[in-house]
Amino acid sequence: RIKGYISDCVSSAELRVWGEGRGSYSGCSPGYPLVQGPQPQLLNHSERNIYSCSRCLAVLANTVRAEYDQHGMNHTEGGWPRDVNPADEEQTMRYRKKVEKDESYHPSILQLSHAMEHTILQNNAVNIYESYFDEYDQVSIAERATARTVNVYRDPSSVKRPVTHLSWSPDGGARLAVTHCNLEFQRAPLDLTTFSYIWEVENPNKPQLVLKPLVPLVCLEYNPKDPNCLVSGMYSGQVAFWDVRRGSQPVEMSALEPSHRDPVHNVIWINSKSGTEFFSASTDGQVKWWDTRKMFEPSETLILDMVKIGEEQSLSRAMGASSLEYEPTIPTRFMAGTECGNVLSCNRKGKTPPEKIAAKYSAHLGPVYALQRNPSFVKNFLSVGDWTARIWNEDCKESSIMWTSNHNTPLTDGAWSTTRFSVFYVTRMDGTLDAWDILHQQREAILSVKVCDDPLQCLRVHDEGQLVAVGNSNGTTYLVEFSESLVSSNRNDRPLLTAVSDTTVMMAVQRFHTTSCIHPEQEVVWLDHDRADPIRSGMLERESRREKILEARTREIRLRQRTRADKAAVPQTEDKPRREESIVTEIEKSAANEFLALIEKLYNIVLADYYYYYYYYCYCYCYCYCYCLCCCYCYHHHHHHHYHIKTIFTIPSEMKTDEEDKHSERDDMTVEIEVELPEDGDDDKDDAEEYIVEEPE
Amino acid sequence: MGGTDNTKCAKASEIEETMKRIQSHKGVVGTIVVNNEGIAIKTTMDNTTTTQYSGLISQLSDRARSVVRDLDPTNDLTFLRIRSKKHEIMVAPDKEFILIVIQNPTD
Repeated sequence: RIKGYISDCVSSAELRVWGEGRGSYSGCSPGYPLVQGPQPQLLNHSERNIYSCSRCLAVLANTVRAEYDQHGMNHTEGGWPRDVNPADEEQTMRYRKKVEKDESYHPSILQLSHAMEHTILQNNAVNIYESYFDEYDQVSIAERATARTVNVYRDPSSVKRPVTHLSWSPDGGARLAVTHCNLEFQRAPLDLTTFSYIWEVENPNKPQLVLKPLVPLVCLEYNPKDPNCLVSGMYSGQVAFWDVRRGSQPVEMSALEPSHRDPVHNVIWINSKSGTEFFSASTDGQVKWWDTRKMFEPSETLILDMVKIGEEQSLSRAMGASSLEYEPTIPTRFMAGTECGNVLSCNRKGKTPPEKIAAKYSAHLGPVYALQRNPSFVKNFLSVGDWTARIWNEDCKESSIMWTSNHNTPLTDGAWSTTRFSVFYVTRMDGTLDAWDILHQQREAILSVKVCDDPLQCLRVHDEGQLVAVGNSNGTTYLVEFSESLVSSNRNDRPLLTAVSDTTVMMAVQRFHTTSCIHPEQEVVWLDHDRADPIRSGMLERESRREKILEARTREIRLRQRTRADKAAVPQTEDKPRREESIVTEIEKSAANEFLALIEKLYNIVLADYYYYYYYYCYCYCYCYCYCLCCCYCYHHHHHHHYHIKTIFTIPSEMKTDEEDKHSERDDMTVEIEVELPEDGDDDKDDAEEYIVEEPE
Repeated sequence: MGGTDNTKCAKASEIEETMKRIQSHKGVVGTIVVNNEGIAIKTTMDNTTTTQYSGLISQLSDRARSVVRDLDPTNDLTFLRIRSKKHEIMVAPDKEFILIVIQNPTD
C-alpha cells in the first residue's frame, strides 16, 4: 500500500506519489519518490534511500488542471430561498414574517441587543478613539542630556605629545585628522617624533595615514570641498599642503623666509573660486594668505597692529594671533583672537591698515583660544579664553552680550554645535567637556562630561552634530557622542534666539560675588526661556539691545566727562551741581520715559509665571542690571550706591490699558518703585552722575 | 394556543420595544437584523442601504469569525466594530442572526 500525498501542484502533467516526506508546493521537493525501482543508469544520490524499500509499482496519471479564480460576490439581494422571488414584495414580506416567528429569533435578538446597547452607551459615554492634542504641535520632551565616549584614539608614538588640532574630513566626517605637537619651547623631550595622524573613525587601533613632516604640525585642516587635500601649519612657521593620495610626505611646503616666525596656530581654507586658497595666523602677529599652487611665498600678509591712518604698522608691536575665525558665507572678513585677549575683526579687502583691522573687542584676560561665529546667527560669535566663554554681537564692541561665569579651571577651546544653534561646547583644563545650551540654562552648563584626567586641549564638533572629538595633553583623542536633545534643533529655537520682541524684560546675572557681599546666594537670574512663546523670545536680540543701551549710556557719560573737563578752568561754584543737574535731568527723564514705555508694554505678559520679577538697576540710571541687591554694589561702574530700590513698580491707572486692569490690583501687574533718598553730603559719590531724581511717574 | 399567541405577541412587542430603544439612543443612525443567509429581517433604514449593509456585513462577519476560530478553535467571535471616519458599524453576530447598528460616535 502506498501511503502518500498528492501534491497540490497538479499543474504538471505527471502525478508523483510521494513518500512520507512531504513535498513542498513549488514542485521541487525534498521528499523522495518511493516508486521507482533501482535503475543503475538513472541513479543519483538523492534516490539512494530507495534501496531499503520494497519494490512497488510506478503509476503515472494525468489529471485535469484545476483552475482557481478569485472574485467578489455581488450580493445585491442574496440568500433568498428558491421559492421566494426577491422582486415580489409580498413574498419577501411573508418570508420575513416567517423568520420572525422562528423560535430562536426572540431570545437571540434579545441577547444581541443587550450587548449592542452596552456598546452604544459606551460609545456615547466616551469617545474611545478620540485623538488628543491634535491641534498642538509636537513638543519634544526635555530629556536629560547624556554623553558617552565612543572611541579613544591614542598617540601611537612612545613619547606622548599633546593634541593641538583636530579636523573632520568633509565627506560626512569619516576621518579625523589629529595633530600632535609639543608647544613648550625647549622644554619638550628630545626624542619626539614629528608625526601627525589621520584616523578612520571606526578604527582606533591604527591610524589610517601617518603624516611625516620634517617639523611637527601644529594645525591641520581638511579642504571643505575636497576630502583628499589638507593644509597644515607647522611649528617652524611654515605651512604645508598635503594630499592623502600622495602619502606621508607633504606635496609642498612653504619656504622658510616668507613664512611666519612663530608656530602657526591656525590655518583656514578660504571660500574662493579656485578652492586652493587658505590663510594662516601665528603668534608672531601676522596673518598670511596663501595659494596651494604657489606655496613658496604668501600672496598677502597682514600685520595685526592697530594703527591710525598714516602710521606704519610694525611687527614688533603686533599682537600675536592665537585663534582665527572665518565664515565661508562672509568671504572677505575674518576675525583673529590675540594673545592679549583682544579680538580683531578684520576685512581683507581694506585698502589701508586701519580699514583692514576694522574693530577690536576686549574679550579676555588671556589668549583667545577659540573664536567661532554661530552657524545660524553669523552676527554673534563665541570666544573662549581665560576662565570664561563669551558670546558677542558684532555690533556691540564694548562688551559681550552674554558670558558664562568664571570656571574653576581655564578653558582651552570651544565651538558651537553644528546642528543645534543654541548649544556650544567648551573644554577645560581639568579634563571636562561642557555642553552649554543658552536657551535652557544660562547659569551653568547643561551637561558636564569628565572625559579624562589630563587637560583637554582642543575640540571639534562633527558635521552632523552628534559627535565631538576632544584631544588632551597626553596625545589621546576621545570621541564623545551626545544624546539627541543636544543635537536636534527644536522648531522654536530659532525664534527664541532671534525674534525681535518688544516686550522684553531684561535681566542680567553676574555670578561673581565680591567678598563684600553678605548674602552670596542672592542673585538675579536669567529668565527661563523655555517657553515656546515667541513674544518672550529673542535672547540674542535682547541681549544685544541691552548692550547697545549700555554703550549709549557710557558714551553719554564719557561725553559729559569730556565737556566737564573742558570747563575745568572755570572755578567751581555753588550752583554748579544745579547747572549740571539741568543738563543731566533731561537725559535722565528721557531714560525714565523709555523705561516706562517698556513697562507699559510689559503688561501684555503674564508675569506671574516668572519667579523672579525684580528689576534691579543702578540708580545712576546706567541700566546696567549689574546691581547687587544686598550690598548695593554696581558692578558696571564699580561703585556703591546707598539707594535702595525696592523693585516693585506701580503703574498709575492711566497707563493700564484693559478695563479690568484698572480695577484689579493683581500682584503680577503692580510694579512699585520706592526710592530712599541719600543724605546730603554723601561722600561716596565718586561719580558725579549720581543725582537725585524724582520718582518716575 | 391562545397562551402561546399571547406570549408570542408579548415577545414580538418586546422585540419592537428593544429595537425602538436601540434606535432612540444618541447617535444611532440605523438598526438591521440579518439572518444567516444575509436577508434583512428587520430594518429601520431604506431598502437599498439595508441590502447593501446586510450583504457586506454578513460576509465580513463570517470572515471575522473564521479568523477568530482559525487562530483558536475554542474561541468565537462575540462582537465586531468597524470604525470609520463618518460613523461606526457595530455587529453583534449570533448563530443564526446578526444585529447591525450604525452609530455616529460622539464628537
